[in-house]
Amino acid sequence: MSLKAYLPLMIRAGSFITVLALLYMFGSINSIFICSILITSTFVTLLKIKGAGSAVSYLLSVVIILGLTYFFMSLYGIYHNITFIGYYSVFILFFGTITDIELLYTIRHGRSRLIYVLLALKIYGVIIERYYRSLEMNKALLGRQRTVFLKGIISTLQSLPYLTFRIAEYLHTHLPYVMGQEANLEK
Amino acid sequence: MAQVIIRFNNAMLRVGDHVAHISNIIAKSPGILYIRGPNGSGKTILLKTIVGLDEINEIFYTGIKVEPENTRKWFVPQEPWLITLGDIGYDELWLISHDNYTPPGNEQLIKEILAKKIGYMSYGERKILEIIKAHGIMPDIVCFDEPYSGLDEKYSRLARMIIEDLSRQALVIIATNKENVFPEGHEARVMAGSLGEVIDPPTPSPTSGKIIIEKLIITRGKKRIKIRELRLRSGEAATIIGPNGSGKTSTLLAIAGALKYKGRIEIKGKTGFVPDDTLLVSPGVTLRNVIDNLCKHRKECVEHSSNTLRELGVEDDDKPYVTLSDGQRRLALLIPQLFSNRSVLLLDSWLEGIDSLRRKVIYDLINQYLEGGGTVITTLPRGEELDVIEGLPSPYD
Repeated sequence: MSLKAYLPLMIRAGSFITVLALLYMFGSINSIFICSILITSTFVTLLKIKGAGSAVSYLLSVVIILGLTYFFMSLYGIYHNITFIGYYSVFILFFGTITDIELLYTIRHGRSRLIYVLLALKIYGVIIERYYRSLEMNKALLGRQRTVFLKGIISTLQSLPYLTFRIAEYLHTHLPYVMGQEANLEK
Repeated sequence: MAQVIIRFNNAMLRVGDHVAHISNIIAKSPGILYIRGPNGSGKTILLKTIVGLDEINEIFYTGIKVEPENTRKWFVPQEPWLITLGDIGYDELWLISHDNYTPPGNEQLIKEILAKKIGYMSYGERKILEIIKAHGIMPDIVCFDEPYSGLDEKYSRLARMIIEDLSRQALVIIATNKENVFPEGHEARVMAGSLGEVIDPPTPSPTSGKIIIEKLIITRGKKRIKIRELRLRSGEAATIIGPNGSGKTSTLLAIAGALKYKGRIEIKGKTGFVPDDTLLVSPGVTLRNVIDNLCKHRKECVEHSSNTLRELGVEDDDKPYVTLSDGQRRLALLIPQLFSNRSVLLLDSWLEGIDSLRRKVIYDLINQYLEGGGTVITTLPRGEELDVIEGLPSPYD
């Protein structure tokens, strides 16, 4: 296999390392979401290079995400909830979509594809904005010392399930109305 | 719109170890049901149960019945959502409401809010956007969690108008810890919750602080925030007053050294900070971690903070920070900073989200902090322009 085939993997792995470095330096709530996207994306690309089909690689990604989610949740020993795990997987796959154009072509209807991409891009954009906001707040509260930020990073990693809960609640309340709006448009 | 009925019949809610009980009530649409209770009494989990978020949050409940079952429900949280699908207010509204929707109230003001980029909105502006969205959907049941907290007079008026309009067609349920939000003729159902028997927290012992600000200019996007002069000596307090979006939080962030600015800021001593959106900071995983980190592991500070928080009803040290209620998180951030030798305290949205039972204790503690030589800057969402007034306003004025 040529080096060119590994290029997407190298780009994604590079982005993943960059984000991890940023996470180490600044430590903030939303860095972990960006990491999750890139972990999933890198994994999917790796599987494709190894010859697995799109459906197989996504299925395996979901299995890995479920495992990671269960691990994070078991750190608290509180939440073992199927609905939550389902939302978490959907949430991460939204982001996977951004870096995987191939999946978009499997969605046949133009409007559904548009809304799917819109959802993913909007969530992604807002999370980056929120990252900068939380960075400012953490600096004001915890100061600039590196040790404090390392503690912040650990707490950020462990807060992942709870942040996902809030996002799951948003999707749970909003998506039925968003889809309703899509149906109206198609009439 | 068909009539909707919610029956609470010896209702009980349980999340983990936390149990809440609700007296027998029947609420029908259209109308408003107020539910009042102190921080941590279970108001939010009740609202989440009503709108069907019980499964996600693993809330176990009995004795709550909504008729008919296929009712359209909506929830407006106390803190604005972590994410939004829309880029500006109009996008977010368009995605969920019908095409020709126009919200009631001051047309110009609503246009200004909806045209704004959500990422640049202040806490109060994002809250008012969520209230407009609820009206845009016009569900059968809409649950508001502390809808008026953090809003200035202008937005508070608009929020009341929109909620009142909603209540003419839908069943509106409002949860709050405040006693003065009920219009004449409305009664609140009270959820149980109280302070410990005796509240006698230790006295804060700050180091002497001082702040000098001259010709301060902070630029955030297109907005420029200017403060000509502010001088505070040890034992003095000032309150920055301004409407939502006027730059109060940015000013505090600049003073704390988290934002770039032009001009002069001179601070004697260490600063402490309590943000308006308590979910934006991650000072620790559990309550114990938060206290440890903010106290810098000083034994006396940790002991005083834990005891005071326990007396204020924030008891479980192993509870994750993010699962505390908004008022409890605010206390968890404030109390350790009072006992950790910080000379200057920057408190965004002074006493918002803290119930009346705990307000007096906090007010007394802050006054003791000032008497001990500390310096305090707080913010209030009132007034038409960004302004600085001297002194610490009483929560009872």
